[in-house]
Amino acid sequence: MSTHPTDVSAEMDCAELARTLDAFLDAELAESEHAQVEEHLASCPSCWAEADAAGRLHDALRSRLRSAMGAGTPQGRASPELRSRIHLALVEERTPRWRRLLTPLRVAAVAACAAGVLLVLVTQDGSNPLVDEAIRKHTRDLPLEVTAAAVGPESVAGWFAGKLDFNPSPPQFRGAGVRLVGARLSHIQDRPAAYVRYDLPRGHLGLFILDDPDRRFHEAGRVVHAGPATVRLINARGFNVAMWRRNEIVYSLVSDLDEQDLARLVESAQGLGDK
Amino acid sequence: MFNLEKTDPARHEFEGLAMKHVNPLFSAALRLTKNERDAEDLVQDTFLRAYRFFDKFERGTNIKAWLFKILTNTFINRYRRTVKERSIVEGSEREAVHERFISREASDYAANPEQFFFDRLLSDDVLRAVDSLPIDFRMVVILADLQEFSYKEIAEILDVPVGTVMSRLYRGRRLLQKALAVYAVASGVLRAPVVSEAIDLEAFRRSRGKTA
Repeated sequence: MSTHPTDVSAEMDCAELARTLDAFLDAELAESEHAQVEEHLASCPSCWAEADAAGRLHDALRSRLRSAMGAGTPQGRASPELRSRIHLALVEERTPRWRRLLTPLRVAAVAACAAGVLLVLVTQDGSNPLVDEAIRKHTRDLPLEVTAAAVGPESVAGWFAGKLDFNPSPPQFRGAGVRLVGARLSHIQDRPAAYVRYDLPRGHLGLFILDDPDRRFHEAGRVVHAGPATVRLINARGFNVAMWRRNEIVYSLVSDLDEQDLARLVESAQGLGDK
Repeated sequence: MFNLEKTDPARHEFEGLAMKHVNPLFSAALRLTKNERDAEDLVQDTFLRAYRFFDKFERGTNIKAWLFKILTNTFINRYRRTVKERSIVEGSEREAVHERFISREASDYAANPEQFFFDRLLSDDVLRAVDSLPIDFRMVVILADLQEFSYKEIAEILDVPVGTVMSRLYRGRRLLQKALAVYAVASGVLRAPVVSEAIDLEAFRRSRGKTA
């Protein structure tokens, strides 16, 4: 810490001033202390120069931090998705347990249970987030974060590197006219997921890839075999969804193809199974 | 559909008070976790915990400081273990070089246009410099210089004495200036000090790699 010859009659000396300078600039001093500092500065040119420079540095640092990560920057702004996530979590949190049991889906399941065989249909088509949430997210058509047009189709999968805890290797579709459009980060329930969008001559495909080591997502639907992989097809809300698992990774492909075309597309894909 | 929203005045009050601060909370969470997904999870957890303890919140006191306290506690308890800390300001050799560069008296800065080099730095480099600070210093600098909390509020948020806040802030700001200077030299915004070994090789390569 710097010391200057004490050639001033002020009560505060230069060493004391140096010690209180930060608190002075942060407007943390009590009124009397503040007055003492000002008194010293008024009579000590070298401390005045130092305080002036330190003050400008102080302000410059603050304003640069604001411009790099303040409210006006992407680094300083919560996304609309986060805001709605919080809102939904709070709604869910507040809902008393007995009410949570009566959510429409469960009401339907209970009703289905009463109807016996219907239950199978409901659990297959209604309560699987890999189907339900995947369809909802796919149809929302959120902007992509990386596009094949910008980085080249072969670099799209690589974009996820470092963004997810697993390696989402999307399969190669060889069906006629399947064109990779781009990708974004997404999530199914609270699991981070890779989302990859493809264009078809008529319609779109949305592929969700997420890791599911503890097998939370149960499997349902009609089984078809595509090479070494077991693929399940489910129809829900007018979409045909294909789901398969590769080690700890699950895939959910949402399509507006009819079931036969989807099955054909999946059968022709490379990199579906373990080998 | 069941509409539960209207029957929940507590949640309305909470959201009305707390959601105003979601941006600064997210900004701080991002600098703590250094990745967007963890930051969003941390902010959501913070809101849920705050909501659960909302009856403990004293109405009329500073809710922003209260939320930041919950955020830092949540981070320390849950995320800190999993976030890998890296620091570019450690390492004794580089330290020595930067010390020589930065330890010039503030009056030198005043006489020198270099004092304004912050403005010419890329925001990415500013963020990297902030992220390079050891967590305790990073936290205090963010709370004081970005969020403009008082020493007393920061002491309460971090549950440390005011004296600790002051010393961490003093050290943290100087570490940050150093780190900013390293990036400024590496990106050519600032001339390297006259000493020839003064360029930080790693930061220099990083910045070259970035623009290549």
